[in-house]
Amino acid sequence: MSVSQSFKFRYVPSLKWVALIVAALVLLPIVAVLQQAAFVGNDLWLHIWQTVLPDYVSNSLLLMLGVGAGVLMMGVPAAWLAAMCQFPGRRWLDWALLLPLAMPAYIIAYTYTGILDYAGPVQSGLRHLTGWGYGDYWFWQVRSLSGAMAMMVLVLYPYVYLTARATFLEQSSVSMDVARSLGYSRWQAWFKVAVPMARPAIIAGLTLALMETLADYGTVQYFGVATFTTGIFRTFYGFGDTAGAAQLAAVLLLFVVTLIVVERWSRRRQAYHVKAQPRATATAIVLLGWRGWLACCVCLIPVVFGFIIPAGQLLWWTLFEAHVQWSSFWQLAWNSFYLSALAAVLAVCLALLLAYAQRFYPRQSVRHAVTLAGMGYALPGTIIAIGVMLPLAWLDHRINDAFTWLGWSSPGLLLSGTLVVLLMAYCVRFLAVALGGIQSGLGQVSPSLDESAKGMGRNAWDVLRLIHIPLMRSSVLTALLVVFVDVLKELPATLMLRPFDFNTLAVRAYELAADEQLVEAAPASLMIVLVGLIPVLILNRAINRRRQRG
Amino acid sequence: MTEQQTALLEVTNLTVDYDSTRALTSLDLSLQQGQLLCLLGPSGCGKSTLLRAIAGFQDVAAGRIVLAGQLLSGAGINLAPEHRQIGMVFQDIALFPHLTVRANIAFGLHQWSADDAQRRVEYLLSMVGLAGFGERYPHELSGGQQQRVALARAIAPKCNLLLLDEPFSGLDAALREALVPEVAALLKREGITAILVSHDQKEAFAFADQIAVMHHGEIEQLSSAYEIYHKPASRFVADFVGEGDFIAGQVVDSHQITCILGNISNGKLDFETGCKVDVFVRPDDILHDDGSPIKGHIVSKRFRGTHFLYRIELASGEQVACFTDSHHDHDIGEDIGIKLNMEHLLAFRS
Repeated sequence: MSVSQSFKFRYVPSLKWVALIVAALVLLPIVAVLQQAAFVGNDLWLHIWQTVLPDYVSNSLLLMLGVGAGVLMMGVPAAWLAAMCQFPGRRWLDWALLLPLAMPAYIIAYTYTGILDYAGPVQSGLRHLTGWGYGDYWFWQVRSLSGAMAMMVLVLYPYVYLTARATFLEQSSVSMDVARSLGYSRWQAWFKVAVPMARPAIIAGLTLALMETLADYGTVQYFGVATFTTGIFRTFYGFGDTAGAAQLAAVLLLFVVTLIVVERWSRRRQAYHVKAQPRATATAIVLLGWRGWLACCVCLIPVVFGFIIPAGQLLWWTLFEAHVQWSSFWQLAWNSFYLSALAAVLAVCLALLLAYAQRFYPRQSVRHAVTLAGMGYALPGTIIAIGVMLPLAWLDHRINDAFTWLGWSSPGLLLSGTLVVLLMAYCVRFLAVALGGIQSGLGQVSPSLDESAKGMGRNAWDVLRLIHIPLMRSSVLTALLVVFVDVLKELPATLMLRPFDFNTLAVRAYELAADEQLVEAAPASLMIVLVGLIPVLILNRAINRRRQRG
Repeated sequence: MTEQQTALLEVTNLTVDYDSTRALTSLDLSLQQGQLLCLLGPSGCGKSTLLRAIAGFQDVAAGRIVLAGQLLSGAGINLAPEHRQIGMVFQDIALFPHLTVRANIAFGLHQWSADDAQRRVEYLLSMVGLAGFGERYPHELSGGQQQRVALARAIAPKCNLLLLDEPFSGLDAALREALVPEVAALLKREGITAILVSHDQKEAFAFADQIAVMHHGEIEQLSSAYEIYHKPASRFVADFVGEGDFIAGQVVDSHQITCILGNISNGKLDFETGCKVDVFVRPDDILHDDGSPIKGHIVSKRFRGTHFLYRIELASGEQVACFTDSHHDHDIGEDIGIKLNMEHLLAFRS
C-alpha cells in the first residue's frame, strides 16, 4: 500500500457520497426544468412559440453579439497595454480597470438612464447651451437594445481584461522578438503572435461575459428589451405559468450549453501549450509622447465610463438628493447582509466538503461530481429560480398533504415560501465561486505536506489542525467574501424567490428604479457597489502578489 | 585593411547603456562570411547585449553596426529588427505553441509564394532531420527536436547572419554534447555565418571557428579556440577558459622564469629580468612523479573515471591541480611528488 493511499480519513466513503449528493443538488434544478418543460404541455407554450419567442431569440443573440464585440474591443487592448507596455498612469490603471466589476449591470443601467435621459444633466446642459427645446434634436436613447449592450460592455469587459492580461503576462515577450526577427513589424507580430497565443484565455473571458449577458435580468427588463430572462420572469409571474417558464428556460439552457461547448472546444489544445518561462529580462515596451497618452486614454475610458461616472452620480444622488429613511434602509441592509452571510457560509462549507472529498477520494465519480457542482455558475438566476422552486414546492405540497392526512393544520410553504428556497438557489449558483477559491487554496497544500506530517507520526486531525487550517484560512475567507458579495448583488433569483414582504438592497434598488425613483434607489445601490469593491481589491492584491513572485 | 573591407559584419566602437549602467564599451568586432563566432563570457559580461544590439532589439548609445555593407545601427539610424535580415534563435526556444512545426518554420516566409515556401520548409525539415514531423505541434517534440525546429525557423528566410542566444543552455548535458557539433556542421555545410552566445567553453570549442572572450562589456580576446586556451591574452581569459591556478614566479632572464615548481624556459619573454610574475598552471601541466623532489600535499580529490583530479597544496601555501591515471589512488592528506611539464609558458605581470 503506497503512502498516499494509506493516509485517509476513516470517513472517506461517506465523504464520497456527500460529494455526489452536492452534485445532485446542482443538477436538480436542471432536471426539474427539463422535466417540467418536456412533460407538461399547454396552449400558452404554443402561443409563446408563435409570438414572442422569435423576439427573445433575436434580441438575445444581438445582445450577445454586441456585448461580445464590445468586451473584446475594450478588454483585449487594455489588457495588452497594461501587461506589456509602460505609459503614464499604467500602475494605477492596471488595477482601476477592475473597478467596474463592482458595478452590477442593472445599477449602471439606471444610473446612466438618470444621466442621459431627457431631464438628466447631459441633455439639460445641452438644451441650456444651445437653446433647443423638446423634439428639436436627436439624442441617443439609452433605454434601448444598443443601450443595454453598452451598459453590459462597460461592466463585463473586466472578465476579458483579467484573463487576457494574465495570459499576456505569461507569454514570453521573446515570442514577439521571434516574430520581429522573422520580418514582422510590431503590429503584425501583435496580430500574428500575441493575440493568437492568448486566444484560448480571451475566449474563456468572453464566455464568462456572455454567460452574464444571458443571465442578466435587471438591465434588459429596465430597458424594455425582451429577452429570455424577461420572458421567463413574465411567464412565471405575470401568467403564473411555470410550465411555460420552464420551457423558455429550457431554450435558454440550450444557449448556455452551446456557449460552454464552444468554449471547451476552443481550448481543446490549450492544456498542451508549452508555457514559456517569463524571462527576468523581459522588458516592457516603453510608449513615449503621444503614444503613451493614447495608451493612457485607451485604458482610462473603460474606467471613467464603467466606474467613475456612475459611482460619482450615485454618490451625488445619495449625498445631496435622496431622502433616505434610515430605519428602513438599515432593515434592508441587515436583510441583505445576513442572507448573504448565510449563503456564503453554506456555499463555502459545501465547497470544502467537495474539495476534500476530491482530495481524499480521487475517484472518477467524485471528480465528475465536483466538475458538475461547478457548473451552476453557468446557469442564469432565472433558470435556477424555477428549477429550485419546482421541486421545493412539490415537497411542500407533499408535506402539507401529510399534515392534512394526519389531521393537523397546514404548516404553509415551509421550504418554497421561506429563505430556504433562496439559500438553495444561491448555493447552486455560487458554489462554483466558492469551489474555485477553495480548490486553489487546497492545491497549494501539497499532498507531500500531509505525508511528511504523517511520517512524523501525526494523525489526520493534527494534519487538519496544524497544516490545513492555517494554510487554508485566507482562501476560505476570500471564498466567503466573494460569495457574500455575489449574493448581495444577485437580482433575478432573489426577485423571484424572496418570501412575501422580504426585501434586500438589490431588490429595493431595482424596484425604486423601476418606479422611476432613480434618486431614491441610489443609497442602496451605492452600498452594493461599495461592498462589491472589497473582492475587487482582494483580487487585485492577489494578482500583484503573483506578479511579484513571477 | 582588405580583410576589413570584405568582412560581412563590422561592429565599430559600439557602446550600449542599460539605463544608467554601461553594458558595452567601445567594442569592435568583425566577422567574415561563413565564419562561426562564439561570444564567450560569464553572465553579465555583455555578450547577450551585443547580440541583441546586432539583432536590433537593443538601442545603441554610440558606434556603428554594418552588415553586408548596410548600416544597421549608428549615426542616427536604428533599423527595426524586422528589416535587418538577421535570423535569431532564442534561449527559451520560443516556438509558437499554437502552430504546427511546418507553420512555425514557414512563419518567416510570409512574403514568399506558397510553392516556394512549401519547398523551403520541406528542405529545412529534411536538413534538420525532421522530415515527416511537419504536422506535429511543438509540445509533441523532444527538447532537441524543438531546438532543431527553432533553428530551421530562424534560417528559413535566408538571412545574412544567424544569431544564437544560448540556445543549448536549456538542454541536458548529453544532448548538448551531441547537438552542438551537429548544428555547427550543418551551418558550415549551408555556408551560414553565425554568432553563438555561450558561457560554456566546451560549447564554444565545439561550435566556433573564432571565439571572442568578453568581460565587463569588452572583448578581451578574439581568436581560435586553440589560441584562447594556450595563449590567453589576459589573466581573465586564462582563468575563465579551462581550469588552472596562478602561482608566483620571478623572471630570471629573457628566457626563463623561476617558481616553486622549478625553472621554466620558453622562447622569448616580454618581461624585464627580476620582474615578479604570476605563472598560470593548468592541471595537464603538472605530472605526478613519485621520484620528484617537489612534494605537495593532497587537499581534495575527485574521481573522474579515466583519471583523478587532485588539488595539491605546495610548500608555499599555493595550490595547483593535477590529473593522474585513475589507478593512482592516493588519500587526502598524503604527500605526493609532482613535476612541471609545461609546453606553453603563461605568465602575467603581478
